[in-house]
Amino acid sequence: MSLYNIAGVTVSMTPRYETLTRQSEAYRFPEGKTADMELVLPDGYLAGKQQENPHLSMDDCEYIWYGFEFYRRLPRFGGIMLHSSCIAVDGEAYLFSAPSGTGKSTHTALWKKRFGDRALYINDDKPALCVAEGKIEARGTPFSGKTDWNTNLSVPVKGICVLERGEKNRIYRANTEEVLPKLLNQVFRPQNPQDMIRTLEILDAVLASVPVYRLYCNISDEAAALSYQAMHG
Amino acid sequence: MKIKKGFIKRSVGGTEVVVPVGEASAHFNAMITLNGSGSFLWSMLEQGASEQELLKGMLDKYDVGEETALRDIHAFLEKARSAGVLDE
Repeated sequence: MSLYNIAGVTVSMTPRYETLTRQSEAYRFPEGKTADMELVLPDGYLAGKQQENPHLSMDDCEYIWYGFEFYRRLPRFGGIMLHSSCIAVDGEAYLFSAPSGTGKSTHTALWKKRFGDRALYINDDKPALCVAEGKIEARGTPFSGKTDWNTNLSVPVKGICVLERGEKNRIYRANTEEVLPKLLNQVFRPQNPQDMIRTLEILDAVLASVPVYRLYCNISDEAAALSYQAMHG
Repeated sequence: MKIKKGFIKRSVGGTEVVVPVGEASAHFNAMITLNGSGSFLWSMLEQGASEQELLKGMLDKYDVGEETALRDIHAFLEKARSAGVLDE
């Protein structure tokens, strides 16, 4: 078993296939520490998943289901997973959340285009949102969906944005009640009651200190200018 | 009437939400947000209650008339029924 530091959690795991091995390299940790989390799936688990999903390779399955297992246990260490594209500009993290296919990555790509080297992806698909000493931080993990756009960094969160397609670009500061169902739908929700309670507590802490916005946007460059202006100030 | 087993109610960002856990999460995808009296009615129905008992509870707890209380109760029961979370 090798040791990794993922989103502040010391994880021991043994990736067998290419994608997970390669993407977790940046999270390697020197030997000698005791693991907080032993990331092991039962024998035959991945093979079973591969049979249920014949369009996926064993490589895909390992990457996907190790990711789920990590996020399932993350609340025990003060973090949750928000399905979102998370980009950091000048050391502050912004998360754009929406169901798959809405345009989160398209929008953050506009930010990357606008800010160049000032911007980097914390995680383009599944950033960890962690509470650390009362502060909310976005953290990279190896599990970033279809791309490897993730960075092993922890960055304070400046704002969270619920994104929807719109003909005209419009953004406003939303109240929690309005966005809560949408956000909760994009949060990894464990089946275990204790883990679910921890998840809700962490989300509560996030919403207590991070402003949430609603963005309707098209794919113009102006959309990025607008959302940055509103969220950064 | 009673709320089915397998739900957790918590305050998140100042709003009361209800989410399914364990086996219930296999059957219920949605989560429900509850306003003030909705949260109270949910708690009563977690123990099991008749409409009469709900009405008495509402009138004891809130400074509202019977008509308003009944309206709130019916709206809540409608929501609970369409979410499929009520055992009757």
